[in-house]
Amino acid sequence: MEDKDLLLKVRNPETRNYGFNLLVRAYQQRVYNHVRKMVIDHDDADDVTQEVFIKIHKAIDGFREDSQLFTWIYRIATNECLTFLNKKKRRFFLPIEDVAAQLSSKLDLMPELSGDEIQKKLQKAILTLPDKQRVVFNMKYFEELSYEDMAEITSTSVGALKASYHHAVKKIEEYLSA
Amino acid sequence: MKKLEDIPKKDLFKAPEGYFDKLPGIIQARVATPVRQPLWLPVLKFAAPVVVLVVAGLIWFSGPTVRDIEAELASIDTEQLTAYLDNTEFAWGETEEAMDWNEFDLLELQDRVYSTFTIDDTRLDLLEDEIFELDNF
Repeated sequence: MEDKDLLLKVRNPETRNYGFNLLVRAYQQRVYNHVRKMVIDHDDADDVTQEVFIKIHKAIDGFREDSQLFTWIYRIATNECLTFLNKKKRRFFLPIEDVAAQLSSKLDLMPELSGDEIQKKLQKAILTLPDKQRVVFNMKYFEELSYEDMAEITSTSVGALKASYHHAVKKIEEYLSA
Repeated sequence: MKKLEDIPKKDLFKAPEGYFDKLPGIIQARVATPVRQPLWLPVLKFAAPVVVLVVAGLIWFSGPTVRDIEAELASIDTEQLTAYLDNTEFAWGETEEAMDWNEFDLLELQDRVYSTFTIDDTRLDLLEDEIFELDNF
């Protein structure tokens, strides 16, 4: 089903619940994967993903379709991730490096990464990036979004995103070579 | 230097089995329309402070703003007052200080006495003597 039809169903009071259910089914995996790469832990990703869809439900009537539905959803998801990580830092009075170290230690416990040292090292390298740069890197490298879509999601210019991604790649390669 | 392009891209972060089957239901339950409130409930929210203000206003404007001491004293029985005064050690010094009699007070007292009692000439003479004494107090 196309986004336009989804929106029509969500905005019609008679089909709102059904339409929203379809929207969740259509976007849940993308949202979860986007969030999970940022927060690493499944339980945290679950909490954040639920919050993202609750925010979407509250705000969908105000969505004016100036942008694509998926970039709007990604924007909410990205903001929720950054808010979650900032809260984590504030709650435990942790500097950025310590949050990264905490997330990094979670990687060591992931069974999916056991025995795959190069993937583990890549993930640890990504965690050394500042949160916003990590979002940019993940969207470009793993999700292969266009810079134009990323610009809509992050409200940043394409030029700035290109520069950010370039710096991120450089830092990661340095880490991998160390 | 190790190149990023040399590393195969892998989707490492897998959700637990069945997670995406349950998630829409969980979210749907969380966003389900809350139990409808009675229509008057929001009105009550605003009406309650208004009622409180109105009641406070009525009390403020209808109640005695200054206690009417004279009226309160008048409502006490003369016998009760007398009994109280008899049983109270009166410090005359304080009373004298409190009493600031002047000519007009005495005249008023005189008028009250005459207007209150119907008295015979003998008692009238006695009262006049008392008033004379008070005059020269």
